[in-house]
Amino acid sequence: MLRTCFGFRILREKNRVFGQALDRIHRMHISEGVLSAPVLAAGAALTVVGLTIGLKKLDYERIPRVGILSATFFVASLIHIPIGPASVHLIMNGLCGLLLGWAAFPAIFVALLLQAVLFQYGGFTTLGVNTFSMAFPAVVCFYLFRHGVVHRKPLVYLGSAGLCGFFSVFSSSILVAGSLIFSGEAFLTAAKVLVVSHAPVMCIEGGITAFCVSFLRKVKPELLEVPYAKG
Amino acid sequence: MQKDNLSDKRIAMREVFLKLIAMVFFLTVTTSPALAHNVNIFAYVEGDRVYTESYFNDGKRCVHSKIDVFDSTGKQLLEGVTNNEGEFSFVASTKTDLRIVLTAGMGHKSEYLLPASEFSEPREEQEGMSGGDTLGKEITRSNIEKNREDATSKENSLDVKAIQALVAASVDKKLEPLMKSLIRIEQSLKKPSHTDVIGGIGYIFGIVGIVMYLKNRKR
Repeated sequence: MLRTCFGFRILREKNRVFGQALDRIHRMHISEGVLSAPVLAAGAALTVVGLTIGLKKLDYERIPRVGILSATFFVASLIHIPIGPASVHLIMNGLCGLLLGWAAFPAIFVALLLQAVLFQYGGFTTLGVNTFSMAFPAVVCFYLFRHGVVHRKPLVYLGSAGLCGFFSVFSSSILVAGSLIFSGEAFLTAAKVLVVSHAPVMCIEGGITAFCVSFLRKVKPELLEVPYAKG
Repeated sequence: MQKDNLSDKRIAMREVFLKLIAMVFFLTVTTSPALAHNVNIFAYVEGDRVYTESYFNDGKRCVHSKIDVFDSTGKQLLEGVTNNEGEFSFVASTKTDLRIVLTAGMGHKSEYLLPASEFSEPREEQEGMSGGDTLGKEITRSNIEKNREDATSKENSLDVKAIQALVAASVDKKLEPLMKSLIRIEQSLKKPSHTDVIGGIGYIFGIVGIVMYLKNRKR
């Protein structure tokens, strides 16, 4: 709850300053024709690396889990939160990272691919950049928070889960802003607007991740252990 | 004792699980999967003015978004910004194919190709047309009539012009609500539907199955 108050205070202040920019710069799924070629190529290359690692580390028994989280990510992107004149959507990459580790790459890639095909959400050339900007924070959060979520104390595991959800959305915003750096949008403005407009998403996802973690600990704690043999 | 504890725990777990499923189901069904995040721009012509309307896929207007208009050669003709209703209109200086591009900030881009045929030419300007089609014939006939009238009285030719202008204006006016409803229909076609979402989830499970099969063969 502390995080929510903090987030809303920032949003109200910054809204005055970035009111105009807010309704233009707020989306995570970048569509065709916006990014420059080197950014697209770099994103594609990085995603290929991530996918290879993810698929290599994928255990046979863990595959259905990947499918379920991919479906979660797919549906979550359709849940919108209105921010002023525009709206932002849930991402759920924190949870994906926590439960899948490197396998978050194939999960998010497949979900984004289907979104691009079925409802032209994002683009095909930008698939690499979009996948990387959402899956990489998932992996990072996996390494940062996976020990916290299996801890004994509720404060520790709930706090870790909440921070995981919060931080993954935050890093995704930063990466998306960074990918726009060569396309004419000043990085700092873009970063500020994206982060501020996704502040509610960060808080909500922190809450959802915490809830999911506490639920899974009761029902199936094995899911939170190391997702695959190698760490 | 132990058995009681276990079954209690199982019941509690099942309750929580069912609540979770219900919540997820509720969220997916009520928050309308029709909300996705693309932009669309639509344009239509009224007289010599081109009207554009810009929307997000979920119906929200694109306010204060940049519009660029290019002609068929790719040269930029003009640029502007949508108003608070997401509308932007301009007078078309050249009646060629126009490419109207909407840039609603980071990652939002859409364009509308307006064919030159949407511009209705006022009758007087088509004197040079050959009488091949009925339109041409009508025009040449009305031109001939006009010329004959000209010889007799000037007021008559003014009447013809005035009538044509009035007819054009009233037709445009009648068409405007039709145009707007066409825009609504086009826009609703682009929204993702429940079937798209269910289809996507189906594809995901299908891919899961294929990957499991492939990994199983290696074992």
